[in-house]
Amino acid sequence: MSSPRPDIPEVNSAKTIRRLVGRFRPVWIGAGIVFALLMIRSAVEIVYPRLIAKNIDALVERYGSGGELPDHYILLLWALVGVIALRAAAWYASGVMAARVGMAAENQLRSDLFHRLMRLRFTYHDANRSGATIVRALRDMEKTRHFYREVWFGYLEIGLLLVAVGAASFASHWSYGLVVLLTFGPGILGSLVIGGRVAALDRTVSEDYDDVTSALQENVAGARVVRAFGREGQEVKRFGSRMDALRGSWLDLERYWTGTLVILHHMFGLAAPAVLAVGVWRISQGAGGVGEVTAVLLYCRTVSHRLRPLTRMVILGQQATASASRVFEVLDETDLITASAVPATLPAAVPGASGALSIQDVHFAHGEEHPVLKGVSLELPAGSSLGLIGPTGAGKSTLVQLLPRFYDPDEGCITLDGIDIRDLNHHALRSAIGVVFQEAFLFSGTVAENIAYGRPGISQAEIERCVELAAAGDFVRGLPEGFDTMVGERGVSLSGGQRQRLTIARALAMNPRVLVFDDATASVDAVTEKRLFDGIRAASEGRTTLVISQRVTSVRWCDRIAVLDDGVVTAVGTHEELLAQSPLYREIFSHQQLTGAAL
Amino acid sequence: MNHEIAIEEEFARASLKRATWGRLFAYFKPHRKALFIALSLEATWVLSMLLEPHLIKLALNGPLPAGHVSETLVLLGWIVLNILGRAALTRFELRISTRVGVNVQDAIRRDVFDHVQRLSMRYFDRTKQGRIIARADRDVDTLEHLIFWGPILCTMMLLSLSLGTIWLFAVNPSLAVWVIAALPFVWITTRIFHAIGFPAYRRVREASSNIASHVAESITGVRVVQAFNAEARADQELTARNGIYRAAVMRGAKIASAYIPSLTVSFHGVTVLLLLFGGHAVLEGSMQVGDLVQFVLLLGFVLGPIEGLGGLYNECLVAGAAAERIFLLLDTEPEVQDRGDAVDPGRLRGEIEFDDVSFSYDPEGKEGRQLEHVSFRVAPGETVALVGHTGAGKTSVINLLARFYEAQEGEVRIDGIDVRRLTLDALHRQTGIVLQSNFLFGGSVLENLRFVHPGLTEEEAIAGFEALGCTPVLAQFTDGVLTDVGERGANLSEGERQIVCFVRALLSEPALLILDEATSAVDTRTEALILRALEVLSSRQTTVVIAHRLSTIKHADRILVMADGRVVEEGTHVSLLADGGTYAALYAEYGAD
Repeated sequence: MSSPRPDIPEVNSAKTIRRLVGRFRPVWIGAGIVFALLMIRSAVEIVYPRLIAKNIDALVERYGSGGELPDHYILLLWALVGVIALRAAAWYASGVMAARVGMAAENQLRSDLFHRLMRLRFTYHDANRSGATIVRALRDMEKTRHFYREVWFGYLEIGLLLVAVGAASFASHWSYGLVVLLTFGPGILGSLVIGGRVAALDRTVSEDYDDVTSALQENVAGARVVRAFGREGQEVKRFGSRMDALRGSWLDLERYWTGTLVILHHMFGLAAPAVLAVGVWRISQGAGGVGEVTAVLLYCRTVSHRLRPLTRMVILGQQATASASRVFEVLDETDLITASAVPATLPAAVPGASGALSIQDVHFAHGEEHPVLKGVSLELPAGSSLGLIGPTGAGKSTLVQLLPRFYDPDEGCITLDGIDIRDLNHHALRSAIGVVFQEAFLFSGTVAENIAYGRPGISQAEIERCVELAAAGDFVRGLPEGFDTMVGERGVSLSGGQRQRLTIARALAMNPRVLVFDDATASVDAVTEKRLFDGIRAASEGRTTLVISQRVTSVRWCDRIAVLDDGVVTAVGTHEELLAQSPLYREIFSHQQLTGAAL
Repeated sequence: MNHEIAIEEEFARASLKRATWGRLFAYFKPHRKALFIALSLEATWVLSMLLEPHLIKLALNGPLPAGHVSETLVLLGWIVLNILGRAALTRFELRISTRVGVNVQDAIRRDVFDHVQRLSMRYFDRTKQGRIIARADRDVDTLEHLIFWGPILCTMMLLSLSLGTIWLFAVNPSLAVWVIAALPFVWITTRIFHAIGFPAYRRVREASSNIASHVAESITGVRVVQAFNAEARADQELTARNGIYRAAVMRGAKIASAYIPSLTVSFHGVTVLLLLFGGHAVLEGSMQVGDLVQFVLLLGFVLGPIEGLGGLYNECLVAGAAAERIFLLLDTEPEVQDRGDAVDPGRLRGEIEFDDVSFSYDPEGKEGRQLEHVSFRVAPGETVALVGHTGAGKTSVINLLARFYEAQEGEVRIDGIDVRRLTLDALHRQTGIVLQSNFLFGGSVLENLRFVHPGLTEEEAIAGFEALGCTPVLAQFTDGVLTDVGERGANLSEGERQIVCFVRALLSEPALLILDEATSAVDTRTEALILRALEVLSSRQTTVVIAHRLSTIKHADRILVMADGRVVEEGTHVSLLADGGTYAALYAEYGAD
């Protein structure tokens, strides 16, 4: 059971990098300052060895001559102290400034990505199951941020230093320049090439690592199943084979870089003897001196020191580019809700007289080949209640998701209080329609915060009223801190039925014109369900209510019940009427009827 | 998502317990030869590194300033040889040491996983999943750098520090004193920065997981976010968390940006002092210029390791805490395991007996008992339904029957044998379970069935669906039994997942079939098909059914009504209704529509 690996599409690196860099635009002043500070730092790296060189020359001249050090020698030492201080200051300032600039760009990118994800339509989220979307938002962003954290700064720093050292070496003498160029030029090219290969090997390692992690996660999540079927031994084997793969690819990576990068870094060391050879040749010609040689030696040392992280930059840079291209893909996604230029406004809500829904000949297909709704028409007068019943796959859930415009119908139209819902501002529309989803999802936060999620700032009394209506009052009061108890990921564990009742209270708290229950009582036990619907019936006085269920008991109280089968409404009527008219309804009912009831 | 765990405990404390290190070192034992070779090579490497400034000094003190080309080139030849030799050495050394590192980490990760397989359900019910995963995942990762580089770096730094110091004193003791004077300064600087940097870094991680959990939660609940018009609020929340993150990162950046300059200032400061005092010595003729240059070059060999050791110390603190948590997990004794006298009686008949069983999820019994003196008997082939309110003890009965837990008092017997004396394999091989929270692994339907029935063919899988009367459901799957169910079965509807679980449970023709709310999410038509099939199959095995919905239990031969951890009534639907007790009341509440 190998977890599918995300396809890695061809990445247009150049375009992605341009776009990544382009996002510095809002902080260009800061980026400019970083650039200037890095120039200062590079200059200092040149000045420092030159000052030392001058002193060395002075010493060579006066070796064994006795007496005091000359004044200019002491003066140069003071200059050296000044340069050291300047270097430290520039280092600090550039580090802090770069972090500030990078941080701003990183946060902005994350906000943009999140902003887009929160607004992409359900069609996008359906096609990208939330697991994959989360990976993209978190992991890709995590890798992309390396660009803003280290990569741009690192390349800039190394680049400027190389230019400075190259220029200074040539300035000393062309022969030194040539030595520096010949040692480090190929070295840098080599680093880039090796870095690319290491990045590729590293990708395999992290994919294998992901496989190991997902095996582990599945195993822990399915602990009960593993034990129930006594499959522990097989799980150990499964995990072991993934570990084998990881170990193999990891060893490949280690073998590769110890055979290449290590050698390359040592080759940088060859610059020293080369410089000394040039030095002795120059001195034998009666030119140059020990000081000059020392200065170039120190240049080389600085460069080879700073080239070491280059491979890391290449790896991080490649990862960041690949991840960023996926982040940009989301940013380029345009599957957003379309709004009319001048949205219509809903007439003010009048209890009992608003919330009229009209569904007219609606067709909807998931993709081309999966028609779900094949011409559904339903009328829900203001304040009425309609039950929608039918087998799995009949299209019940899809139909209700059209109401708040999570999807738009391919054909046909839906009106709310006489206005086409596509003409409404979608926020206004969604405030008017309270949906209780099948999956009872709560956010990390207190019970009260979750209830007030759709209408922040409502009163505690209102929250309590909704909780009562949702038949959740008893258990909420029994929680350790009542309404202030934390729920969700980090909070207390609630049963499915408890969570579901809280989501019902959440929908009620929005005080919507239309209440929609999307099979929302599946995990509530029968007794609770009955209490729940008693409450809901009371709460939906004057409110249009649409209840989807597979169970007759859940819809029987509604004014009317519609039977949906294979994307078509086959019958509408009261319980009794349907028993007489609809064979499917009869079938469902007779099955659900208790043996006892038939007695 | 499990990011929040990081905040709870990842950085809770740093630890340097000796026992922990002993156990960690034990993982190196199988590789001690390789490790010894690597460390010897590392020692040679240090000597070679120290040799280079010496060769440069020889050049600078004599032939080079004099312009003696050939003499200089001989020395340079030695330098080149030294570098090439060192490159070869390093390559072999790292190849050996990284292999050791990979193997050690591999062994730890496998040990953790293997041990997790042995742990009982109590552990999983009590421990958040994220925490268990963090042990095998993040904590082992935390050890990575130390496992790979710790031994080598330690050898390198200690040797370089000691040999470098000796060398300095050998060249010029009065100048060497200045270098030694800088040592405490570098050490203290390093320690201070790590002391401030550690919590700062922790805050960055916390802020980062804070963002991650908000993003993950918002995406998981994106439908709710949109339905309740909360997009803008979700954005604002992210902006707030971004702000906290930014502040944490900036603080970290300030510390890191100050750290390197502070260290280099001490390096360069010593250089200036060397030029001042060394300059005097050169003028006096007591020292040559080459010696002075060598001194400057050797500085890094002495001051560098001090800095490195400071960092390593810190890493040991973090890794020690991670290792301790790993070993804590490895030391957790599984509650349920095969006893010495465990037997495998072969094919079970499926007779179940609860004999005065009392049970609490809390071994100390503080939380009150879930079962109080429960006794009942189920004949082979019988179908029994457990009925009662939430919390009545139905699931506890199943947990004991499947031996996910063990009872504190009384005995649970199958075919007259105490379940604690059955091997877990014998019990679980012959028990089919369909749980309310139906769990599928990522992969195809067939792979999920093979999870329990290795070697199952496609035809056999299809036959499994047929036997359950669920061929129509299979027909809805795009690729039949080869359909990818997605991560944890996300591609299937809840009802479809439950059907796959049913097939998975029934394929092995179990002696015991346990159904915990197994058809709650299946639609009515399919449920009818399944129940009909079960009726046909029911004589083959003993079946225990838990159901909230009274409609699903009408197929049972007998109904056990539970309340407050006891069996309060027993009988058939008709007889229980006639008795007018708890069952009748339950029924009235539900049926009085």
